[in-house]
Amino acid sequence: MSAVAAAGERLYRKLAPSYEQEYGKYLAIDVDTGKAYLAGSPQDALRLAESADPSGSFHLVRIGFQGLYRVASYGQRLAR
Amino acid sequence: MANASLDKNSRPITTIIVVGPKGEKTLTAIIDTGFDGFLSVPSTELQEVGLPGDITITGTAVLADNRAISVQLCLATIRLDREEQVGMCIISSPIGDAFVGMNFLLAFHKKLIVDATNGYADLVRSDYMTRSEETA
Repeated sequence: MSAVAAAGERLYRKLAPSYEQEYGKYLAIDVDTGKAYLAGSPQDALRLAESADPSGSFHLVRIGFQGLYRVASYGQRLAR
Repeated sequence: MANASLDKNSRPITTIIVVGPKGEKTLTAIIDTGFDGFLSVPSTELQEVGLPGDITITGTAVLADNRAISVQLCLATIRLDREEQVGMCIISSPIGDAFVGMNFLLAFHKKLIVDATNGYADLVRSDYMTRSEETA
């Protein structure tokens, strides 16, 4: 796991209880500042985060889900 | 004209154009209904159009065996027919296929028709159905 993703997951574990009511929505977490930006789509969450910190590093999560995406079939190739 | 077809392995495919800051690239993408995201494209194809940009974006993808892996992402503009949509794109390994997922069909308001027996597939406009139409 990349350093950005690992830091993002650590931050999300701390933030998750505050966002339990937002099941299914998306968070863009700025791994440098720890700030999180909530939206109904990953691209909208990212736009909010990027407008606050145009040079930031961001980790995207879907609230209440194991991952941002489920990649059931051809996605096995992503793991190579 | 149909904008999807079946490849030699009977997988539904479509032709998309990736629009980036350094140009455009036409790609054949597998339509993967087991992928709930928008798009996944090999890094080499994205680099040709100037993607990703300077910022680092990561996320987690869950595979069929429930393993979670981290992936790099970028925002990508995609053209299908004459319509453009912006969505998150997984930057995949240099060797591999491009594929589009369920969020792609949702963004472009398309439904996938597959007739494997006759070697036919198409992506057609999907309009919202009323409840009575769904149950008719």
